[in-house]
Amino acid sequence: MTTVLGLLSGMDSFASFSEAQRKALAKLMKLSEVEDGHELTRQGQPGTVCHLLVQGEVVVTRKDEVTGESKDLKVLRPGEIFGILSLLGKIPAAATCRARGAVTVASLPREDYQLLFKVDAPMAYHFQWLVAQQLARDLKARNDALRALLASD
Amino acid sequence: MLVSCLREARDTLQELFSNTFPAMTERFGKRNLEALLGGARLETATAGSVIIQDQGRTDRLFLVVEGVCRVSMESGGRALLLGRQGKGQWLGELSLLTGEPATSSVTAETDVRLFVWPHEEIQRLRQASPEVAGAVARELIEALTERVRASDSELQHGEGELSLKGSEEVKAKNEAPRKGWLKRVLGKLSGASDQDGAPSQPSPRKEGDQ
Repeated sequence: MTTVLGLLSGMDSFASFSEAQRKALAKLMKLSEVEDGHELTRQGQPGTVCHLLVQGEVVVTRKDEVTGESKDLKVLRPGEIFGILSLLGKIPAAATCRARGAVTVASLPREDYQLLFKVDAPMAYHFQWLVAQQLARDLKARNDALRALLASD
Repeated sequence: MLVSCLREARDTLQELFSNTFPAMTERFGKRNLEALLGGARLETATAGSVIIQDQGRTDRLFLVVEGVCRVSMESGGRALLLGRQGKGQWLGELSLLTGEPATSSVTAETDVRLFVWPHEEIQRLRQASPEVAGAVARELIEALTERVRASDSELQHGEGELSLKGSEEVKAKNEAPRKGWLKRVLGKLSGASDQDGAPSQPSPRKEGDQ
């Protein structure tokens, strides 16, 4: 059986943390199961939790603001984090994440993320970098879309 | 002697930072700011010089102390002005965070003074001083959030077509535009060349309000 702690231990982005720190994070995360088709994040809607995919697959779909077309961007596998912008509570999700088949996720609610600064500040700072990196990827994607439009017929 | 000179240079940087960015200084705290500025340099980009080249590799993070830069991209023979950046705004953060080439060019429109950090210094801080790196991340998150939000509102305007709020011109460099939205934006900006020499104010930021 896959555990949250086991997944965190195997992830590169958490490799620099001690077992005790990973345990503290795993303790803050809440396990839940969702059915096929369940939307874990919806593009344009602000979320309240960040998810770590524990079991199953999640399809990431994005509607292009320029063309209006929806496109499947990728399929997430166990060990991947998504909905990380929810931790900010300020901006809407950049994509829709939907369960393909039964899915188990470990979720970190925004209020527990805030708690993380008290429980384990270095881990919280690390999450801040993950959030900044996600925002940077989103902005880069928008710039790439603009560039493509600029070059198109 | 050398130690004394270095200390003096560091104190000067701190004084400049604190006087220019009092709110950011408060958010960082004295000790974190010392650590951050330990790896910083102050540079001046003369008007017209390219600070970041679109699609080029950039290995430095910048914070504008004074002056105005224009941010633009080029593709298919066309140039698009994305906006202008001024005091208190960060440059080069996308490359720092994604590890990929720049997605736009940044050119000094006036002489621009900047605090500069090599990316490797920021990465070193992540290991050596997570709190300092966390404080930097917090500033970058705020800056990126504003840009993403602005980008959302811009993309939703104009009857589903694209226009860039805050950008004053879209120029077809080599040929007539073929996209409807480009035509429309160009139509509104028929006097665009007259505006070239009239830089707008950078978007308002906390530090600018002080």
